Amino acid sequence: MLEFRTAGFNPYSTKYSPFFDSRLAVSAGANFGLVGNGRLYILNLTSNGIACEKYFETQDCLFDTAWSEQHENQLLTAGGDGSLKLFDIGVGEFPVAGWQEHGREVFSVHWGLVDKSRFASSSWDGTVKIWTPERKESLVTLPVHSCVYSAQFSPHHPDIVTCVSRDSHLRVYDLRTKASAQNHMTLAIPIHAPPKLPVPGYGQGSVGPTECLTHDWNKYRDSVLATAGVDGVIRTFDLRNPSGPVNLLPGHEYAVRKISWSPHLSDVLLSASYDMTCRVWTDGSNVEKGGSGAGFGRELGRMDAHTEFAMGVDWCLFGAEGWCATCAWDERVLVWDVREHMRAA
Amino acid sequence: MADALCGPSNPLQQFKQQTSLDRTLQQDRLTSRLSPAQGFRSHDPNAGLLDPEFEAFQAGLPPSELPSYHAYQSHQQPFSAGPSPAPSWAQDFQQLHISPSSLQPQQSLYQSGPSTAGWAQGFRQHATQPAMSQRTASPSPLAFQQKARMGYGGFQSRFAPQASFAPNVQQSKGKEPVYEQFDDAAFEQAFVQARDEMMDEVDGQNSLQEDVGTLQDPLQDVLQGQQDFMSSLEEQAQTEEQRAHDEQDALSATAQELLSKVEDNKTDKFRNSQFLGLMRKLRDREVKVEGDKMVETVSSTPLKPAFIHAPSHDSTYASGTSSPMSWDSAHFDTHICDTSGCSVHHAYDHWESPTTPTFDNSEQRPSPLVAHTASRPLVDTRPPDYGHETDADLGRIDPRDGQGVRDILTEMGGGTVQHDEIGTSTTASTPHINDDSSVLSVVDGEPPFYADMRALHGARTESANQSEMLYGHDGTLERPVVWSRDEGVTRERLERGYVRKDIRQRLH
Repeated sequence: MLEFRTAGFNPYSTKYSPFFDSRLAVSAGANFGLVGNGRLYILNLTSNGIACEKYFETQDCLFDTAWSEQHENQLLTAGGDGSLKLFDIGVGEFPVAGWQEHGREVFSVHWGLVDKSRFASSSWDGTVKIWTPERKESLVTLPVHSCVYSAQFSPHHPDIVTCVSRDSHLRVYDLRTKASAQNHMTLAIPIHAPPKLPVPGYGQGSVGPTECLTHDWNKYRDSVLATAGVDGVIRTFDLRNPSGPVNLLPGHEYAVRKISWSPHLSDVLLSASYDMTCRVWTDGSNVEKGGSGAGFGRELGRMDAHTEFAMGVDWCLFGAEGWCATCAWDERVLVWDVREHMRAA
Repeated sequence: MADALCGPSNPLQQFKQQTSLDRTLQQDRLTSRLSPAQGFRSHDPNAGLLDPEFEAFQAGLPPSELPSYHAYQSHQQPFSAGPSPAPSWAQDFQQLHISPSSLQPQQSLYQSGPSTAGWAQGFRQHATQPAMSQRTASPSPLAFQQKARMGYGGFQSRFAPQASFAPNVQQSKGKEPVYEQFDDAAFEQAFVQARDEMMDEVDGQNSLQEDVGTLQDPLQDVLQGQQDFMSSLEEQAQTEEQRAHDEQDALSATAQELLSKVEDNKTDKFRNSQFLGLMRKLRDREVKVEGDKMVETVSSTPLKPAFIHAPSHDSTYASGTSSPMSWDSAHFDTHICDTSGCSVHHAYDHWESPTTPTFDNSEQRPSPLVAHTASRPLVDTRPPDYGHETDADLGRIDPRDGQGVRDILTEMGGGTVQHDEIGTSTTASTPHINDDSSVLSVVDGEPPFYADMRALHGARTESANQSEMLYGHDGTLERPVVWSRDEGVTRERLERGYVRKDIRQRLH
């Protein structure tokens, strides 16, 4: 396990570069992001551990970061002051572009994985915005009317955007549709709805809506997503069956802050939680691994090394499956191999 | 999908199309452009519209008990649906625009502006009148006709900002809409009188005496209005102080709530958590938020991460007693600063001295935030190459806006703009006390904390000078965003982002 200390700053998000297997970005804020400056670290994994290649400083906390899919040296940040900034590692200490349209804290940014000329941002001002680096104004604004904690482009389709928000709904937008009363929205799935099949150990009675903090698209199954939030339960959804969750993965004691599907395995996902653990899960869909197809998921393993709320997780795209990076408010970024933390089945 | 484009058309369908137009982008721009100098911390009436309801739903309240339930109408954008008789709208509109009696004096007053300014001013005046029914008026056919005639975009761009400006009056800082405080009628009357007087002057000197007599009344009114304005400013300063205090209370309550959620967790991790330690201090008021920092109220030292003081992963925060005490106590509570190189008269200078006061200074001193926010110059934060000429609402951002308030505040000895420049010349290792916007504590052999470095290479925060605000440091895009950060923001981040709601819901 490799470790890097972001001394004086509490990390919020970490992302592997999609271009280099050894490069990592971490966005952080002073004073747990409550007040004070922000910092964006560019880290390199070397034979001597993790080295800081460069860092950028900003006036306000950086809640999220996303690497550009177009340019290997550029990355976006989501600022607590409502700004989006594009930094270039090779250029000075200031951003090369900036956008200021959001009215409140920007909580997530995501770069389009298919149409790589666009990126999305979501903010507490209740909107999701679609941007292109070439333009000063946003391309599209998608009103959600509730604090949006996470927005993503589909990894399978250039025009599908999803977001989860405070009102416990997973919304699906299709940018090809006419901007009418629906504002491109094609689906709004209640996350708190009871699952189709009862899950053992988890009462059928709905716990009621709770804030949803994070979601992620499955990288292999193009209609599957996972969400997680304040109630600590990770849920998977299949957009072909939009009435409610397919699977529930209870286990975290407190709210789940971030989840990420594996880029190597279609059924594995990683989560970071306020209970200070990071856990690996399978949703039980992999028949070859003993899952029952639509079966019930379970926890595969957990990593307990963080000593404050765990905030960010990301999988390494390169090399052997299982390497990942996590960050937490203990001012540490850990790079570790999931396989070392597996539980006996 | 009910929005089929083909098929027979009927008025209802057309009406529906009109109401369901996608104008999010446009509205978004308008609201974000509404008050650049205020920053976005003021509340966007549309943001989080559903959140209180969601909360109430979670708490099991019936919707009628929702505090915002009745106020909901006022959140609506202009022309959104609402039960109000159409004739009142039409009447208001006529009163506003068509009636020559109100139009004439308007034009004589605002002739210098662009031709639309009269309309906008008329509307502004109209919006401040007690009859504000047009904001919630239902879109009657007449209204839509008017809208169509005006041209949708133009109408919207003039209408929306003004209308939504009115309810925000209380929140605006340093950009007080001065016009509100004057009695418009008296003002106009004074102008008319003055003009008449000039005409009469040609006729003869003896009529002048009378005119002066009649002129006195309206002038008196204007002066009265000014006095009222002054006193209301003072009141506002007081209420803001009160508000800051209330926010501290709320922050403390939030921290308490958070702690109660995790108090049954007895694991070592949670017991030793730095963050929860900070929450405890917030709850006990040992720490408070001041501007950009967390400050310990006992010693008023800016909180630093533990790493500077103790390399081990320590759960305690820097306490005041362990901080470098290199500055002298004479600075405490002096109003004339005698530090070399610092010749500016500070209103609240150096009150953050680490010397432990024998009384609770948070109670008895005015918060520097008040002066700071109120005296901040009005800055157009749009990018310098922003297409100003294409701005449909030329008259709206007026560099003179709020100038009166600034002048008054400067007179009153609130903050001054020069205040900001003090620390920027400071260099290197001499420990030096700075003004309240950046407490400097460079200690030999220790890596400078970022907040300190900012002071070293020039302020990059709110205290940056105007050109820096506009064009950024070295002309880059690193434009500081100008807004006042108060405790409310911190509390909300605490509540919203991480703590209260996230942790509240335990499974089972």
